[in-house]
Amino acid sequence: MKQIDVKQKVLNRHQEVAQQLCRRFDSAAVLAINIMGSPGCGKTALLEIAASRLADSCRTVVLEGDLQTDNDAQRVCAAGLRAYQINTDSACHLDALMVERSLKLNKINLDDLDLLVIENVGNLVCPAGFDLGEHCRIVMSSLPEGFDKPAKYPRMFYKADCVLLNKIDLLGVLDFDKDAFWRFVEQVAPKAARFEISCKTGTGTDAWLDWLRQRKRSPSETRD
Amino acid sequence: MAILCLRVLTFDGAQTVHEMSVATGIMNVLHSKLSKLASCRLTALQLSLGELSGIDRDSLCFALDTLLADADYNGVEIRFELTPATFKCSVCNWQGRLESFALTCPECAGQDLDIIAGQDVTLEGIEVE
Repeated sequence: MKQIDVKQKVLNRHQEVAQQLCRRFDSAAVLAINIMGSPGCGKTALLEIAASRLADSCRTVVLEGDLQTDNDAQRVCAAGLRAYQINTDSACHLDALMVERSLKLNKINLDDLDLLVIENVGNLVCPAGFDLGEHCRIVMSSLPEGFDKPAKYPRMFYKADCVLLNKIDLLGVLDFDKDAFWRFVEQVAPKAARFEISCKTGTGTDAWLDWLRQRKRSPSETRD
Repeated sequence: MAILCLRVLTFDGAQTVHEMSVATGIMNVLHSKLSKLASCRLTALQLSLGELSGIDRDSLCFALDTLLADADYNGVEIRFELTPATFKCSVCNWQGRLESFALTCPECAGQDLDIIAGQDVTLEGIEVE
């Protein structure tokens, strides 16, 4: 019997591709953002409500990650943005290889873009483990999910650049401890920008877009 | 205005649930390593699993067993060791474990902690005969 040292991280290839993607985004001066959150928290609704303002202010492409259907790409296209669907079949997250392949197969020229929005597969666990080369990690939660999600899923919120609390219009309806939610966020993502929004009424979405515009000015400075 | 650009890109085969993705990654590393060796039989894998890797050990084991059998590696023992989550404070350089994921430095109460270990899955070594 012979023992052989390997000492190789299993997802090294993904990390290499993520770094390559980030360099490509930087050289094309494209801000890449990765929006993550539970299924149904409102990620696509945010893009719909922000679509016209994004389309007016910057050249945007959206990559939509879902296991099946192109429903979300259709919704975002209908709202006025260029969107391409990535179906992961049964994978619970996007990875850098998928993003790279989508950019290539859809002939997305980064030099023609200002903003690349990657909407990850709805999931509070697995997407946290896969770097997509993005500059900004945006994590969305919503009132119906309960206020303790940042405590239960800390790795998702850790290193978030921005935490969005959506469906804030339901505050008087649901038993949601907003202060406790933000205390949990403070524990795991103390530096994250925080916005309370409603993709139904539009509350808070202008403030979030203003924050995004600020990030747009220097994407290469925003990546940790 | 509707912009129609709905080419759907589908990933199949190699990418399935999270643990299967990782198991596929392990197999890729394994194939690469074994292809450089003279004819031998794989008998064991040694993996380290980060506490924060988000990987369920039993699910990964099940996925690996399936892929190993598919690739005609039979009777391979899979051994795991857990890598604890380790943090480092960028203010005072404290390093260590935290009792919870509340990211506050126990030494200086700084809030700029980085994870320096415990996020990865690593193929540490193999045994062949």
